[in-house]
Amino acid sequence: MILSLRMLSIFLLLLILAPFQSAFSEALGTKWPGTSATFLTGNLPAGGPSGSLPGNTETWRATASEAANRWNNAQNIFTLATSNTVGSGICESSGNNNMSFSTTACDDLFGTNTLAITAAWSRGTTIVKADIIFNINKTWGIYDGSIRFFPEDFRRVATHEFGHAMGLAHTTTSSALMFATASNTYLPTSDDVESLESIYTEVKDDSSGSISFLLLSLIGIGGLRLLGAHKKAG
Amino acid sequence: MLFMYFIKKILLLVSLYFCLSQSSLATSILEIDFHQAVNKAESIFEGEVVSTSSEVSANGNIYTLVDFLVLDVLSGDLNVGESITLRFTGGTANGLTLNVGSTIPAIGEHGVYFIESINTQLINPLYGWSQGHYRIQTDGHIIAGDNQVVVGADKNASNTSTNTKLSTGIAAGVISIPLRQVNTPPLAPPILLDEFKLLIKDTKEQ
Repeated sequence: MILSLRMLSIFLLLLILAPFQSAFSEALGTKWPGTSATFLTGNLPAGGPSGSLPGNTETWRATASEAANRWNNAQNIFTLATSNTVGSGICESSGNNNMSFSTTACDDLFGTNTLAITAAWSRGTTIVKADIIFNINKTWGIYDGSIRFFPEDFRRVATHEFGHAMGLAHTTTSSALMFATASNTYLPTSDDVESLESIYTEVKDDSSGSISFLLLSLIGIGGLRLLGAHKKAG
Repeated sequence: MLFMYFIKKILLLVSLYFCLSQSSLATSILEIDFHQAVNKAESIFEGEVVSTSSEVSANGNIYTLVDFLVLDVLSGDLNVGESITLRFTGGTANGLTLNVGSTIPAIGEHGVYFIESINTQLINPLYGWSQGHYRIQTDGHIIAGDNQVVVGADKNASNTSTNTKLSTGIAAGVISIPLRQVNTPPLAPPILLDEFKLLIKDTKEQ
């Protein structure tokens, strides 16, 4: 009797955890209070890649806007706006959401292997500010298609970092843009959009359902344990 | 009484689940290989986190200072028994959290740490971020930066791919398996701390 109750309890626990798994597996646990954010690109250099590097006719600022629009074109859950103006408070807890190239991020050096970071400030689970900072010591170009070892693709990394800025973590789906390994994917995929949906789509009904289910399950488990104890005593 | 005990157990499991599910990267780090990690790291040591504290700069940047007790030195100029402090960008202070994608070692953590530089202020002082961060469980199993159990490492591994590769959290050449598959033939069994340290020493170029 006790054994079967234990098995039932484990089963109920797995059922309880299932909705949490699907809703949080690809999120950082923080989100913006609304469904849009504006990033200022004016701190990026006015030009673009130089010489024979790929994308040398494009500019960093316009390319950053394209990266944001790649997300906007792929979904209508969250809007990434960009403005070609100079922002304040790069890597500070207050000010604008900025994009920039730098030798440092938040006063510290990137280190040998860091291409770019998204620094996100949050209160509780609410993001209040985010900056995307690219390592100026790396060689950057702008290109789509197959990824090359040299130079790094600014637009692809910017699109990836925008995903983090919206609250996405790395996914385990290897074909997705938010997969940790840079690949030939340079546009958000359905997997990326589904992850974003799990964060920003109104989940009031689902979450209240989960919480209700959790409470009902706890009551059920407790009841079964008490019943078991009662029968044992009887 | 039993009911409350059970509720406590469930809440603990749910909390643990949330903690594990949110330890993810939020940045773009290049993949390194095990040979590179061993030979490019300034120091490698086995240590334990004895304390952590937060520091806020004038412009609101938040840093976490992590104090380690050095238990063994595998490479570099550290001394067994000394205390060292590593500063990680990010953390929580005054209700505000700064996240740059680092997994910051917590109090009580026992691990093997590959340091890129002690004296240079880096966003993350570990070489390759989570690729230089190995946690040791009480059963002796080693957890790599991808949150999986280490079962081996190829000291000759090289990531000389023609493609740029971003890190998946673990250095190329380090083999890891999910926790649930530990001791499941034909998968290799987990390597223990002493084997891992020997592997590091063998990989170190003299």
